[in-house]
Amino acid sequence: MSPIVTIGNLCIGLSIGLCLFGILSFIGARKSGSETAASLGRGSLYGNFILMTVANLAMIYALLSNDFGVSYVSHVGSLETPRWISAISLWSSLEGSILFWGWILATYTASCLYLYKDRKEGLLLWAGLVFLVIELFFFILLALPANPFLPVQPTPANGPGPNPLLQNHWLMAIHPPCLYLGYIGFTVPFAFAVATLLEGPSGGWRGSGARPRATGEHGWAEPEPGPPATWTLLTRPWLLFAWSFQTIAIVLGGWWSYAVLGWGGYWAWDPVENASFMPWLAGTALVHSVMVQEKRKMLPVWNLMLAILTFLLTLLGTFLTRSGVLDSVHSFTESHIGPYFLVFIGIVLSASLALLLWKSQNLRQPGQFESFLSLEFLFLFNNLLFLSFCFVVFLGTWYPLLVEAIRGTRISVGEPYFNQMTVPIVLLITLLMSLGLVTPWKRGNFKNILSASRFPLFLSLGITLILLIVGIRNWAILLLVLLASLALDIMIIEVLRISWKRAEGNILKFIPAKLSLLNDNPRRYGGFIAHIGALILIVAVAISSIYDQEKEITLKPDETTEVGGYQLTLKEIRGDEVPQRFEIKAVVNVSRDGKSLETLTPQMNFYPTSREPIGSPAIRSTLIEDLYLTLNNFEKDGSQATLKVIITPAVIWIWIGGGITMLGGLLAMVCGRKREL
Amino acid sequence: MKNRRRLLFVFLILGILSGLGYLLWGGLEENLVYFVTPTELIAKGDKAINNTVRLGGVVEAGTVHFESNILSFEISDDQQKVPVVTTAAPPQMFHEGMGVIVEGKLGPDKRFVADRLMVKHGNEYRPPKEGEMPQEIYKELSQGMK
Repeated sequence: MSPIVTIGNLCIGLSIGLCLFGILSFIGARKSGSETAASLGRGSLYGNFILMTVANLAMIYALLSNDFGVSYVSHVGSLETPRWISAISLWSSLEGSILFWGWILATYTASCLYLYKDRKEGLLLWAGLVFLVIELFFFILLALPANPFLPVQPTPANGPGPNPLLQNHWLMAIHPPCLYLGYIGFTVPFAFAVATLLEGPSGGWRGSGARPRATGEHGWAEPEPGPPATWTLLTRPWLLFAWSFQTIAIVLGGWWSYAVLGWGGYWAWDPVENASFMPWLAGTALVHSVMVQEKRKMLPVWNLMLAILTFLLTLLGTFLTRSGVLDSVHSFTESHIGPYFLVFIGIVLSASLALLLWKSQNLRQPGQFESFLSLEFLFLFNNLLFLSFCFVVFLGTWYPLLVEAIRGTRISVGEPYFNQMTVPIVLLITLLMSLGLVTPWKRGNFKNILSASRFPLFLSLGITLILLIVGIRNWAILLLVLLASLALDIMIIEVLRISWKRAEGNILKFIPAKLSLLNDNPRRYGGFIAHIGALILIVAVAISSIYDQEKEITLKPDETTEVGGYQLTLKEIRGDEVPQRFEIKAVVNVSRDGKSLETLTPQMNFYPTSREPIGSPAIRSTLIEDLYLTLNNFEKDGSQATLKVIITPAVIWIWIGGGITMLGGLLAMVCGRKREL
Repeated sequence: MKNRRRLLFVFLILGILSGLGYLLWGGLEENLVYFVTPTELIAKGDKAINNTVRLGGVVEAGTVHFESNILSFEISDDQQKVPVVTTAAPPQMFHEGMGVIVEGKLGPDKRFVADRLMVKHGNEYRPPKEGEMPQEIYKELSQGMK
């Protein structure tokens, strides 16, 4: 038996034991007020982090050294696979994904409690307890239905290698980790929300007046000065971190789909995509609504509900993609993991609902809603829109599964449903972005709002008029550009105005002044950057989905054809044998107006274990448009090839916009944190 | 005063939500696409004509013709066959014997007019089934293309 099998199972077994021990310690600490018990609870989380690190490193070692005596390696490893792909095969299939999940979860929870170890709120004890309960669930998955460390007897000489789809592109090395950092990060706000409900309204000062307690040697009768931090403050950096990674993960997923699958698009409202999008929508609503609680002492219970909902949607999404339920509603029980997930989702849902019903009554806060013309109302409206969006996607994703389960007929929801429903929502969200920039908290008046947005409005009308003159006649695009440029103008003008004031008219101080803004009001200006990215992304998605041209061409070697202003010349069709696959390449020269631009090589990769070849499109990206080539068919004697040519404008701006959005989220998290906690 | 404002507020929210709900159901009902096999499609007879469905099955050997951008082939499920015509671009390596899903309508002449050929993208890998011989295709190619 491979030593890796022993190490892995030992780590999983010890982690389960530590979870149980830690849960008891935290309960004891909250009941008796013992500092020792609290340290033991925290120690269990640290211990789990160490154990998961060891287990994951052991698995990576087994993958790299082709240890086929380990069950997971015998499923996804092969001698021919390039080593870097072997390493990232850790997340190429179910069992490895769950192991990796456990590692990220343990990292989040251990670092969270470590950073807050000096805080005295009882809230943290409950949060640690919730962390351990969630860890326990994943470790049980690892021990029973999704154990990657089963011994394989006799040891096979080779394995099938990972799914060909996943060993075709470098994005597979970064998209899954980003997605996990996002998905699992939403555990932190969830745990603190549940902890708040368990702790009640005192803010949870251990030994504070709310519940007098005997003070021991290390008594907690002396609370630190300052107001008790609410859960929203404590979890804000974690929420923003997770949200930023979830954002980039979704964009990278689209990019992967675009760069590998060869259909020329990046988003198909596929259940797998929707599974990652729904928690993002709920999480985005939460990122906005926690501000209302902090600034105006409103919506405390609403925020708790949103944090719980976001976490539930991550669980549901994982269930959707990992339980086989998509192939057929009735096959998921064969997947071993599906039922476990359903039970856990049921437990989380009912426990959260019960807590909300019993405990949320006494968490009310004094904030009062005063006017419809106020920032808090806009935030509430934003929340309604994001949740409606989420519900639209939810219905379109789950309704077919429900129908199949009840009536046995297979249906799918056509893409037009999603497009029709989401376009108005997105337009409204874009409008809110500008309104939110010029509306104050509490109570605004029309005159100020109008005067603040008059100049930007003229500017954006001008931009829209230019587009109209250029010949764009699609009303939705024009409206979107009008709204998006309005928001952009307001932000840019504000930043310029304030930095100019700061620089005191001195041009040399201008840029540093801009940067210092971030530290002064990180939330506002980090938010600006995130919104600028989002606006770029929304406009790019709209433009690219409306104006694309597709053509299928068949060429013989040295034959040239013209598509969308490009001349395409097929140079040769070539077959190359590489260790893990056989590649058929069409070498195509691209030129414009007789000037050669570059050589694109779309290819088809044949794997010995897969019936269908996996394509690799070749893409020439510019800031204006993408030229996208796929090899669709070829004659085996190399005499001709059929290529699909797709020309789509503005695609590159989707990835750029996504990157900027993520950066904005991270800046809002990192800058100026010291003052707030 | 306070109560009146609160009531107004609640009504506003309810109004927005009910409007949304109405739109949602309408949009969903309109865009449901049923998934059928050739046998089920033929069993529906004339009722199937001009209704958008997704038809799934295997591309029948010897039926693929490609003429002036119109692709025609037959989809079968081992019991029944349905002829399909489409101008949509076929997915990579469209070949006989592969499983496909097409979306479109059955015309009055009992030919299925498809406007989409689907590219499936799963995130779970299934090894080849019995009777599929990727190695054979692989070998044949690697000898032929050298």
